[in-house]
Amino acid sequence: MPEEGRRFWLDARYRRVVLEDVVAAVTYPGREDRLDEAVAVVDRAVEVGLAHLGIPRGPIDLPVRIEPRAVGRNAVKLEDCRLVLSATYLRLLPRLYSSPDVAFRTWLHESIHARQSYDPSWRAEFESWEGYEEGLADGLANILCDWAHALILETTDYVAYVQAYRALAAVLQMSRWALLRRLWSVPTGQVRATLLTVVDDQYHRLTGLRLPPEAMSRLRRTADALFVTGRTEVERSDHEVEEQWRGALE
Amino acid sequence: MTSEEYVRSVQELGRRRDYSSLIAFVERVGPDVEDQLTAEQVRILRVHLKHADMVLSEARSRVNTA
Repeated sequence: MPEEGRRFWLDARYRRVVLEDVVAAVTYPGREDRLDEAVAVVDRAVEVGLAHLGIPRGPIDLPVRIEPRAVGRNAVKLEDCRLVLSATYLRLLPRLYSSPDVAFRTWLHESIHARQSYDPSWRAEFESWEGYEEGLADGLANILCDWAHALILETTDYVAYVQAYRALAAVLQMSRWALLRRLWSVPTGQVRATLLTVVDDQYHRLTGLRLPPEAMSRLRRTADALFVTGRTEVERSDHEVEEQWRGALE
Repeated sequence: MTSEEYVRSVQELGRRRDYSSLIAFVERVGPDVEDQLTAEQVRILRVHLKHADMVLSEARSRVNTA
């Protein structure tokens, strides 16, 4: 990995210092003038690291914005290519979490949304089934944080959607990375359509057969139920979700 | 308002897909409860508010284009 990103990704102590610079700049009077520089250092490291790992970020409208949004509106990559983080969220990190690495994961998550311009019809997928896109971004961000040995809390933001992808990867005998990397290659708004193709291709690799139309229909219904908007809680075990996927593929 | 009541209100507005009211509500009331919020409550807020931000941004973009 190029030097610009290597230390941030691989040296947890250095990453903590850099992220704490951002938090300090939105917290303490007199530190505001350091905010732009601190944000630019983190963002450049994130960008360089993602490119090195083969999932480069697409164009965003730099600089990354830090705005006084309510907590919960933590971060968003908007259709117009702005990437916005909440100053309130950053300020609360020390109280809420044991590590500023949570901001690292959020930064990665939003940068994964920025892989390409959004598909023009993205809202048709996102409004009803946000989990296809949010589960992809959170699942990949978690894998990257594992690689960087980031100290992340056990739960992720989109727990139910991440579980759905984890269970599907297990059923398809794929790594989570292989499954999510395939889906990463299409823009926001095309993940739902692409998932069926990815599953069918892997099914063909495993069995030599293509999924019949009725199985594709069951797969669509199962996936839509698991990735439906508003699922904030894990309601079943991984094993039970794997059984759901298997039932769709039989 | 307690943080539990606040999160329930956000969830209800999210379920109703009343995104403009949702964002207005959190910007008005959020600062009064933010010091009481737990990490789990912030996680739930994040899911609902991210969705609202995304959908509203698309709606604004359509208006601007028109």
